[in-house]
Amino acid sequence: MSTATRIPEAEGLDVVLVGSFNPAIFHPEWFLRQGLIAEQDAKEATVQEVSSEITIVQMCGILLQCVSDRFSLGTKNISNAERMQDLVRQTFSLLSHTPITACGINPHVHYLVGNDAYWHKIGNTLAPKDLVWDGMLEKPGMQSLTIKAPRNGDFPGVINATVEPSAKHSPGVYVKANYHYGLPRDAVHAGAAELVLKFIEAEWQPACGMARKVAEQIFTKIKPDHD
Amino acid sequence: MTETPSTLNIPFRWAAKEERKGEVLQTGYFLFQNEEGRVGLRGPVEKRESVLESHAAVADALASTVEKDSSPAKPRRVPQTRVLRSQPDQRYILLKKYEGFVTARGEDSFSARLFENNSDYPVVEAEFDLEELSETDRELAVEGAPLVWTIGYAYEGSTRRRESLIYLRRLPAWSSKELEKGRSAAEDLTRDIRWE
Repeated sequence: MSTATRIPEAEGLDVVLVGSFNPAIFHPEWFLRQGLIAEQDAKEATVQEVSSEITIVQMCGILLQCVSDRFSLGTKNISNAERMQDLVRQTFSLLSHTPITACGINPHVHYLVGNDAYWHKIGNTLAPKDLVWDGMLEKPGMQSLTIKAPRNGDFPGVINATVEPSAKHSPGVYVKANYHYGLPRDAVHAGAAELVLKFIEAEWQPACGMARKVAEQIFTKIKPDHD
Repeated sequence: MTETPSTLNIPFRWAAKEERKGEVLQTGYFLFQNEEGRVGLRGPVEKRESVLESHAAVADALASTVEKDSSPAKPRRVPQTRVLRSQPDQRYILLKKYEGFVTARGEDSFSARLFENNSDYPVVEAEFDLEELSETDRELAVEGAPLVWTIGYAYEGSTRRRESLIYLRRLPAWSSKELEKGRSAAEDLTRDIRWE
């Protein structure tokens, strides 16, 4: 199978903000009154919990979760990505004085790999067993591999790329990326939300494509034996 | 690679976790790395009387032995735990995605200029019926409005259906600072033009 035709079996995205939040505010009614969602979306929203400690709300195909030190939007339907971006940008344009210390844009993808031999080849190439593990453990296998790399530019941070066996599609590969941006300490209480929104606007495309990019690199560099 | 259910730890977090000095919180996941776990909550406030009332027998027994407390009953919170699954079970396969903006709007339809990525050329021009949009989104389809068009397979259980979705973006309004910046950039450009 060529890389160009390989389409993920499933693809999702999470945006996680770390800082200081008031979970009780994030009720669908608030989003409706601020004009961020339509009336029908508010009516169809599922509220699991809205309290001062934790909020879990599902609306527009997006799961909103908030506790006092974290805010997150997530979807397993990647066609909601831009809707999610708009929701986070609008929310924190309104709550512009929220102290935020870090932001992560986290895409994830599942791919089927065709057969077990290729699946093992990917695992063995990424994490070779012969040097350390063979002989010490019986049938050692790669469970999770995370590569961390610094990211430069206007919004410096790190990229954490993780490869795991897919728990949903067998034999399959699951790749997730964490495009992390830690805000400068002096910005946390002075324009943090504005800075985070600039980061989201500027880095959205490369961040959202990072999991696919890692997967494509794996499939390009590690070929099945019959190719 | 191996595929086994984890017994490494029982994911549990307090919802209002105290931040430790210098602790760097990760942004890779919301609360639980594997999407599921328990959160600890302080729980609703309960008055001492109500607790005793619900355990009347115990209260009676206590009353005979414990000296009556004349101070007002102090409310207290009973800790609770709740299972939290951080993602609903959805599945969607994206086949094509175009971004663009509305170029013209008619009575029953609108036209849009679309591209797959920033280097995509020539761009695609497409015309859509307004009926393709939800009633609330139709008023957003005005000239210049940004939109996203996605085509993919959506799953409902074992059923797969092909979906074409048009989402008209709801972007935050320009701030006065951004407007001023734009105005100033336009003035700089105009000033730099050398007419021959």
